[in-house]
Amino acid sequence: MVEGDRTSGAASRDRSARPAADDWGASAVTTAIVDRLQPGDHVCWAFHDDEERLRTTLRFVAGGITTGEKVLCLTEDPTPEALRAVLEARGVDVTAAVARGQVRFRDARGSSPDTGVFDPVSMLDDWRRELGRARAEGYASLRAITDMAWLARPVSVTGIRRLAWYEAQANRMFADGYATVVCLYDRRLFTAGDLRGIASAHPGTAFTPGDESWRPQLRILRTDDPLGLRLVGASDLSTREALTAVLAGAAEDLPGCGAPLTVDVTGLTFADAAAVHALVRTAQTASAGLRIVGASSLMAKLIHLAGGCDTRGMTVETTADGPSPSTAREHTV
Amino acid sequence: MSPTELTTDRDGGAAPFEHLGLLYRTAADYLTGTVPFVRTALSAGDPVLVAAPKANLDLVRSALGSDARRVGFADMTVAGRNPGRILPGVLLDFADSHPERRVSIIGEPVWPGRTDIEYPACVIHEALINTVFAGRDAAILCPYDAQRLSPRALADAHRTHPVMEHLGTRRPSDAYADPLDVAAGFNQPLPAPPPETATAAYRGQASLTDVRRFVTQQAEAAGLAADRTAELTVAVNELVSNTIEHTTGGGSVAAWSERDTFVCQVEDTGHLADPLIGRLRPAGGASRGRGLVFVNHLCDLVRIHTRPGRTAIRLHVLLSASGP
Repeated sequence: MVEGDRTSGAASRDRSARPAADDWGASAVTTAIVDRLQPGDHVCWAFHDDEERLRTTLRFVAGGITTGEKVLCLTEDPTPEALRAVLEARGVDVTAAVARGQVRFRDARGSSPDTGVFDPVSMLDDWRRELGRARAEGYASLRAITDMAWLARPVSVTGIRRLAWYEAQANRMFADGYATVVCLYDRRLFTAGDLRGIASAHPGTAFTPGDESWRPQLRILRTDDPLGLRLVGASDLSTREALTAVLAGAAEDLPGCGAPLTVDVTGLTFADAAAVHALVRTAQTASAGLRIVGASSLMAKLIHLAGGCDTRGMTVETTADGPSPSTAREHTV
Repeated sequence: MSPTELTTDRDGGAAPFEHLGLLYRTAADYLTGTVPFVRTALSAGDPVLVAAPKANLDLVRSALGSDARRVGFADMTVAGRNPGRILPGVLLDFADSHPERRVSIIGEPVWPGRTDIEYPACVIHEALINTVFAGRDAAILCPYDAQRLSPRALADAHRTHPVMEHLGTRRPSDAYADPLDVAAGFNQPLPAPPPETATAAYRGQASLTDVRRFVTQQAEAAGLAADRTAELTVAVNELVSNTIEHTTGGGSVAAWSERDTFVCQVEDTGHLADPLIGRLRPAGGASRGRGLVFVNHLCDLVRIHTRPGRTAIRLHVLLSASGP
């Protein structure tokens, strides 16, 4: 079964390798996947070749123009100007959208492209500014697609760890459900080992866009009433760093007024030991405690095993539907 | 805590941890060995837990009379059905919930109904108690039914307990052996899975979803209850995650039914060098091994064969029993 998925992925790669200059929409699969993204999604898009990158960008930008969202395109090579020209040549009316301020092309290297130094903290500040700016301009949501290729060059273990940290921390911002963010990772530049850690810092990863049923594996969304987070999908090793970062930052990011943070796990179809331990640790750091709602009986049992029962300020409310086999639900989402 | 720290705060001499094997033949023997042990601890104000098969629990409970209210009881055939979870789930759980006190525990992990397949895990558990509790302020008394258990089981009891008690007399056990050596002796190749067993290869974190689907489908087809299927899926997911995190290769999952048991085996190219992995309670920040603690809690038996370059972990879930 694992092999089967690989095969379909390989087939789609072969298709995308063919020049498709006059027909960027030919890959219905890629189209379908891009269109399935929602505000709050932060996806690691591990692409195989330039054509796939371009088609993904095209579809993503064109979709954003149609829905009236603010669209941000971050690239280094091709340059912002060149990418804009290519999109225009492929039939997307970016000129008009740029003219009315809806679409912006920018250097991917953040606010100081000259140094070329990766400063994760200033990059996160940069995102904060972009989100604030789009909001100030009155857009209901923001779409951003960013090519991370420039970070593959000074490749080192520390660099990759910093990059994974940055991607994981970014989820704390994106959890507010305003932006849809696609991070493009070139598989020719990043090794499989690099991508493992980087992917796990994203709640969703598109490795083989040949699977039509693909969607981000996990969605981590902030809720205001009650104050907290809603988790939808499955949380395992492939989303671990993303979830851990949001939960570890929750006490700081969601300062309640004496009310406990609420994490709604009704839509969480699977959680591994690390996810459950991260929840318990959140309960230990949140000043007013943590309330888990919608837990399956299995989830409640796992929280108990992880020491949640001994954690002051942690409450677990189970779903009324009795012993719900959470994995059975996983495949129907 | 080092042993020296502990010896200074109690009676100033004896090693703080005692691990006693108790040989009994009759109910009267059982009470002669266990009740004074309980009462001595109670009179010192120490917390006491009795974890034994239900019939023996009832025996001790009624002999203690009103004192039974001050004692914790756990049915070992449930709490300790999987011997691998007795340390984290029963013994350490109780000891850690009384951090400032000497704890006294009657723990009976070996009873005549234990199967040959379960038995090696029981001995490994008994041996590793010595390693895990070394230096802790605790006494653990393990009754063995000398009437009905095999000579081999009684011999192993002498290998895993530094002191043996029989008819009120305590003697150092000459056969007591290094606990890690005893445990390593049971690190043996597992019997081959049946022919034509359903198998799924995995590699990389993107295959976790497929692994979970495979386990769920196989378990459901075998008639495993939905809640136990979900638990087993969590357990297999932890093992597969360990492969992906800690080895450079992939692995495979095999699933089959064996009489009244559903079995999943995860094989990879790693080596579990630490025999205590999965037997210690997960401490706050430490992530290593907490997955295996979950596995021990969720399954009815965990069998491991590990050597450099290859590890096979076999998970058993009873088709009839309800969850732990």
